[in-house]
Amino acid sequence: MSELRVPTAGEALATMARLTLVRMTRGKLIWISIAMAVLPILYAASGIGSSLFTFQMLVLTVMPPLFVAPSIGEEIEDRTATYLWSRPLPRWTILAGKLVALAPVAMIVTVGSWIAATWIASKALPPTGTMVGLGAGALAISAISAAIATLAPKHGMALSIIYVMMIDGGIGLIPGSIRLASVTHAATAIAGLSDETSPVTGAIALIVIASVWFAVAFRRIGRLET
Amino acid sequence: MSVVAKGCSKWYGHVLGVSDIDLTLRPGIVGLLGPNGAGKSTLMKLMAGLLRPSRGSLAVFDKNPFDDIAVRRRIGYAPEHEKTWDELSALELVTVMAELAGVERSRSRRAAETAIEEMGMTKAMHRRVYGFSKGMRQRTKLATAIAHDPDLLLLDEPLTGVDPVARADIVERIRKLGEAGKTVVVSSHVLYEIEALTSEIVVIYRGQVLAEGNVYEIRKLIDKQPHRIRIECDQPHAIGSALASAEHVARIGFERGAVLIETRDPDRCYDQVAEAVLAGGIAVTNLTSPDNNLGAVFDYLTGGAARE
Amino acid sequence: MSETASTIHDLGYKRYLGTRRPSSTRWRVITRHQIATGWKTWWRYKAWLVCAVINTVVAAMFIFVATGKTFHLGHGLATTFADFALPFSIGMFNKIGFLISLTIGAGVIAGDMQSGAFTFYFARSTRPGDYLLGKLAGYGLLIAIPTMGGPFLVACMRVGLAGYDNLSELVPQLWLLPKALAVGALSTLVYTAVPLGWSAMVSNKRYALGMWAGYYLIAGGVFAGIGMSTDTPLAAGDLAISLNSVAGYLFDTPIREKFMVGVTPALISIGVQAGLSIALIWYQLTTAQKAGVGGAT
Repeated sequence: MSELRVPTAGEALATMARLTLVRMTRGKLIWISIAMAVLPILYAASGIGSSLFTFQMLVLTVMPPLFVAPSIGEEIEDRTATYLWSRPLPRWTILAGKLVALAPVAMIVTVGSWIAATWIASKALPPTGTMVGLGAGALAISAISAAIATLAPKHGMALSIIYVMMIDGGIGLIPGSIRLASVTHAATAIAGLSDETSPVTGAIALIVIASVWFAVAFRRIGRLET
Repeated sequence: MSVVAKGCSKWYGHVLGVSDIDLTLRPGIVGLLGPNGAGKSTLMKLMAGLLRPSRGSLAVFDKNPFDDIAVRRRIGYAPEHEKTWDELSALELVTVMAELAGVERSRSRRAAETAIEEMGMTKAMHRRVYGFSKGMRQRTKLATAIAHDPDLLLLDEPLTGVDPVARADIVERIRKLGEAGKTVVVSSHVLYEIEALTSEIVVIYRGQVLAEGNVYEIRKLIDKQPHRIRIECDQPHAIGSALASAEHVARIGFERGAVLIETRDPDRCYDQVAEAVLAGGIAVTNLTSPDNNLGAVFDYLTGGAARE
Repeated sequence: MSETASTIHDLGYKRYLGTRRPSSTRWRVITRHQIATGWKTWWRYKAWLVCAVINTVVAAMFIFVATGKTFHLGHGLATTFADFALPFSIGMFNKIGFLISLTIGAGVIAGDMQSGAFTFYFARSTRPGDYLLGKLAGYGLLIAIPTMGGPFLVACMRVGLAGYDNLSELVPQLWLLPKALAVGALSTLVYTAVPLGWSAMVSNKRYALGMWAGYYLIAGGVFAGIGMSTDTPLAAGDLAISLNSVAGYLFDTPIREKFMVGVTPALISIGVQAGLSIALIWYQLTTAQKAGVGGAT
């Protein structure tokens, strides 16, 4: 009988993260994301400094879905998930490993683009709150993308972008407490750019939103059959 | 027992995958046989822990493979589809699969190299899967399934798209795995592939187990179809005359230089043929049973089931 | 046994000798297939069609309920609800066009390249023109339903529900119908050709979708931002602004000047982007046909 060693959760997570990073670096995705991240920098380089954060919110809308959603959705659609799910791993480690690899990349590209654009526009680093807001927003939208990808694997990226752009953006425009359910509004609040919501309230709202979407994603991945 | 299924059914919405499967699999090679859409892959996935039974139970080494993580350590699954992570080299792919199956990181590369060597892919192991032919992909898939030395191997259509030379090689390697004491379940709808591997079969048809066991014993059980025995000799009519009055003989036919006997009791028939040959000094050049093979068995089983 | 003539009948494959579809109509097969594919699953097209219906109903409500009431757009601009409903709904229909381009358009040609469908098409007597026309017509029809049909319906409701005292008030309003169709046609061209062009750039649906979304949202935003800040027609590079500007001009909608470009730069921008996209698709098709397409990637 073979030695019955089962990988620990940490080992599984680390292996998944490594696998995901290797696959990402060998594809063209990183270059496409960098090309997108350069666009606000070009805008800043044109000498115009106004509405720079607005552009960064557009990058925030696209970047996490670009990385996270297809990584999960294609795994399910192409059925390469069968290799993973037939292994002695808790399924949450598979999803967590991917998020551990991809969410920071989305955050780095989004925040990095913001730092570079601000530096070019004003020869100074952006306020810390804005960097934290964008980074936290990227993490929360990664959670949304992961959940949507498990619910609709075929159109994960498209639906994630649509959700953030239309639904989340729309919720953010509603006056009152309801807008706290919007990731983009919460990220703006953390950045200190919202008159109605304080950064602390925005951070709490973001944590709650991200937790809910993470819970949806992890629950869904545990029940999927392929 | 490696696999025990009791009243196991699985449906996808309104589509029935498998229905009321009662099955026990022991160590050795078992051929899972059935036409396209019969439920072979569904049964494989139930065994691999990728699906949960909609009703009934299926246990692998006494555990539910969907819920029990540890038991999946003892399972190696090579799926039917070709898609893998093409950006990785064969070695990288098998290594990471071995790690995820529980092989320690310090030993995973060695385990992967061993598995790749067993599958005859050593020369190409540093190449990316992207550029592999079908046969190479199949071998790589098999390597991912055996790298962690599992006790139960589930190989879903492992010979699809493989050229004849590679096929013979892979068949031999699978046979060795069975001889090593593992339980190997090989599914296919191509009968001669299974015939080359094993005589222990499970026939699935329309989601149900139609027959299981040794193919020759199953053949004996098919009463409605008399066995056919073909004897090439210099005096076919002499043999025909000797058996004409036997109760177990359903029909006797003659071809040029041969007699074809249809009998319900092949053992008695063989005895009587031998007596006739010895008594008459008949020179027999060939003796075959055209339907004592998997193809005929399968045909009789599914054709009969379709007619019912 | 009587002596009869023996014969063996060939029951195998026989070459088809019947009528064949004329080559000039083969694109229709691809069109039908594209429409059928788009209609599968809920999230590909049906969900957005429902959104278009909701948009139409909401616009109708505005027109019917609050016809003459004044709607303040801010910055000293105002119009009536009835007058505002049509251009506003066109903006929403254009957004729906973009959504459809995300779930269908950006993946059409990239998906065919990725799956090896080009081998399927060009191993037969399918010409690049048949493929191009078929895809444009099929996907274009899916886009046209909300982006052209929607505005036309709303324009009909604007003309029919707004209420007129006499014929001399009604007749000038009838011009809204061809204007709505014209704006809708431009939107259809934009959301058909340009995403297909991006789709033809790479043989990977994921990359194509990401690039199209990034171009439309981020690059378009950069064009708009620079154009608005420098007061140049560069903002016409943003397809949404170009379409809104044409709609604003045709329907005489009071829009802040900084969010508009002139009609000429808008039309040029749309024409150039659509033309370049179609040219890119044509280039990819002819290259694939001549190169001897391989299998799926």
